[in-house]
Amino acid sequence: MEDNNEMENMQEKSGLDDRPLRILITDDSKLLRKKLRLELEKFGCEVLEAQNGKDAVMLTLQEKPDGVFLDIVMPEVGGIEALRVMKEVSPELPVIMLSSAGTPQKLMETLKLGALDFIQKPYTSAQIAKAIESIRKKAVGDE
Amino acid sequence: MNSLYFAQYLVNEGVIAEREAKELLKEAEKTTPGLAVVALAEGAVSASKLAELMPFEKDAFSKLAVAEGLLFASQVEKLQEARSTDGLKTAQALLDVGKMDFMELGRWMAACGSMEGSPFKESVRRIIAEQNEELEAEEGLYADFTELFMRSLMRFMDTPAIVTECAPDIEETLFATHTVSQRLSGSVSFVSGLYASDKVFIEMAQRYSHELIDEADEMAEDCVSEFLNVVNGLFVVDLGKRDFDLDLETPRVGKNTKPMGSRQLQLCVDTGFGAFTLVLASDEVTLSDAHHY
Repeated sequence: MEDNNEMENMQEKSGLDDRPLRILITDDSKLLRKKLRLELEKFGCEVLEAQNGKDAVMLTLQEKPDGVFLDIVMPEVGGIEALRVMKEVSPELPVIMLSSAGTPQKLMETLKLGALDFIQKPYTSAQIAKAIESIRKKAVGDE
Repeated sequence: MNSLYFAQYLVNEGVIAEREAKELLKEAEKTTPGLAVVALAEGAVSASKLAELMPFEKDAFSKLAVAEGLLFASQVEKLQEARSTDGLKTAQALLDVGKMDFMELGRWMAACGSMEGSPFKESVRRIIAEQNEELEAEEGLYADFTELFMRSLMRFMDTPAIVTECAPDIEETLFATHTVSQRLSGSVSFVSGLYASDKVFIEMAQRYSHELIDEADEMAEDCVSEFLNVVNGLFVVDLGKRDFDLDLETPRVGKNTKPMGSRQLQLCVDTGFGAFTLVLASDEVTLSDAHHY
């Protein structure tokens, strides 16, 4: 019940010309993408998916998402490299790192590169809700 | 009592034999901890009182305890909540199969509760000391990882489990198998992997993902890989706090291969749904070079 209210409030508050937040999930795990998509759709988000850093950068340029969830350990181009490129082309893009590799060193490195937050896997629904709220705030502020 | 440790503790203490424990885990998988067992573990009721009150009736405890003035109804409610989150299936299974009565169960639960250290780590240290002396330098790392792995297995796959020296059943491993491994590189070089029959592999995937998975397909591989990735990630974070800087590589999957690596330790992990092999090494050969059947 509380969750439903939270969701409705978020949808009402989005204020992005009444369009839903467009979020890009980047993870090589199909399971992770499926579970996170369901989570984000509960919050009324429109979801895009990429399986590696290279595809994520392409989608960021083409689709201009409002925010990105980005894994670090991925084939081809990993999350750190993808974050670096994303921040070069869209410095204001909110990027939430969602990774198993949450060492203090990785945390520092990604925050220095401009990531908005770092969520250590396994994530909780509350962490995702908080991340969506911070993406929404940034998106509204930037419009 | 830390109920996650109970089965392993009993094996390490020689109270139950490894073979017996494997059967017990299967029983534990089928049972639900009764409130009496939860009350005993929480110290709400003594073993002697339980033995006197309800020698047989597993489900009658709450009514009897309130009627006899042993517990308030509110306490019973709290115990009900504890039941849904605990790992007391092994304790209940010991009663169910008649291996222990309340008195004996209470004694071993208390002993397990007052134990220092981790029975999983103790088991790894013993296996290395008895059979793999050359791995002495890796003992700490392998014991720490096994502890984290076993706790994660129980948490994410909702099963009691024990770790023993590797002697998997032939029928479990001779036919179709899957291997998943992941390398951690940096301050130390470490590889963890697991090797299971397809039947057990599918069950692991299903339990971790809460999805309906009935084939050892790409989705099953993805689920088990992600489980290992999450465990390794937690391990890397733990090591990071101790100033070890490690990077995770992408997990690798192999079919019908045996993992091979240097400084390798193989451990048998028994769960309520079957056994698999946990493989720890300081490095690995590529899966394509590994032995194929």
